[in-house]
Amino acid sequence: MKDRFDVELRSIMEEESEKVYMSDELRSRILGRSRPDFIFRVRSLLNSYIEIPVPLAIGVVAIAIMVNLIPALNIDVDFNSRRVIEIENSQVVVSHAKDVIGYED
Amino acid sequence: MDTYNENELVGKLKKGDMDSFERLLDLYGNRLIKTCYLILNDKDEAEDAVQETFIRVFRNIHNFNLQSSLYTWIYSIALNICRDMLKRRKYEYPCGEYLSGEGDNTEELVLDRIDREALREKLFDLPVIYKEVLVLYYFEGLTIKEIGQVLGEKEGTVKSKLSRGRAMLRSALIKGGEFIEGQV
Repeated sequence: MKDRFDVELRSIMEEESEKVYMSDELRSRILGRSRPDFIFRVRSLLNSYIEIPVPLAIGVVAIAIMVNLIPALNIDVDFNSRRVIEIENSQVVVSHAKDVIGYED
Repeated sequence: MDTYNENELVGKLKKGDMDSFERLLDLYGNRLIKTCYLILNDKDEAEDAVQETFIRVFRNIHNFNLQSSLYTWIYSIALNICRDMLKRRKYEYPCGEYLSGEGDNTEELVLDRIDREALREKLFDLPVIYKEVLVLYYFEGLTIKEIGQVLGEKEGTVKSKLSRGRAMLRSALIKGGEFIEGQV
C-alpha cells in the first residue's frame, strides 16, 4: 500500500518528466542510424526459420519412398523370366503370350 | 502489448522491417526517454541514451530470445547505457546508510514535512542503483519481479534497494540535507 510519500514521489517523477518527450528530430536520427545493412541481412538469413508446408513435405517423402520401393517390388522388367527375341541389334521382350490357336481362319 | 503481438513484432524486427521498428519507437520511445531523463537528470544525455538504446535493440534483436518480455529487455539495455553515462561523468555520489532505528516516528515526521522541492532535489541526488529501482517502480509501475528481470537481480535484492532508496530519501528530508555516512 502506498502512502503519501510514495504518491508525492510518483507525482514528482511525472511532473519532472512531463516536459521530456521524443522529438521528431530524435526519432528521425534513430531511424536513420538503424537501417538494416548487409551484416544485418546476413544475420537475418542465418537466424531465420525455414518454413516447409506439411502437405508438400508429405508428398515429397511419399514420392521418395515409392521411388526407393519400386526395385524392391520388382516392377522393373526382368529379362530372365521373359522371352526375348533378338532381331539384329534390337530386342523384343515378350511379357505376355497368348495362344492364338482357335482364332486362326 | 500481448505476447502474440510482441512475438509478431519481434519476428518482423528480426527480418529488418522498418515499419515495425517505427512501431517500436512509438510504443516505447516516449516512456523510455522520460525514464532515462529521471535517471540522468539531463535532457540531452537522455536523448543520447534513448538513441543508443534503440540502435542497440535493432542491431541485437537477433539475440533476443523471447524468454523475457521485449519491454524488460529494452529497459535493461537503456539502464546499462544510463549507468555507463553516469560513470563517465565521474561524479561521486555522497551517500550512505539510511538512519537505522528510525521507525514509525520518522514516517510521521516525513509525512508532516514533505517538501516537494527538497524531495525533487534529493531524488536526483540519489545514487543510481536506488534511483533506477525507484523510477522503475513508481514511474514505470513495474512490479518487483519485472524490475528484477530488467536489472538481472533477485526479487529480494530489488525489494531491499527499493526500501533502502525510500529510506534514504526520507532520512534526507528529515535531515534537510545531504546523504551521510560514507558512500555506496
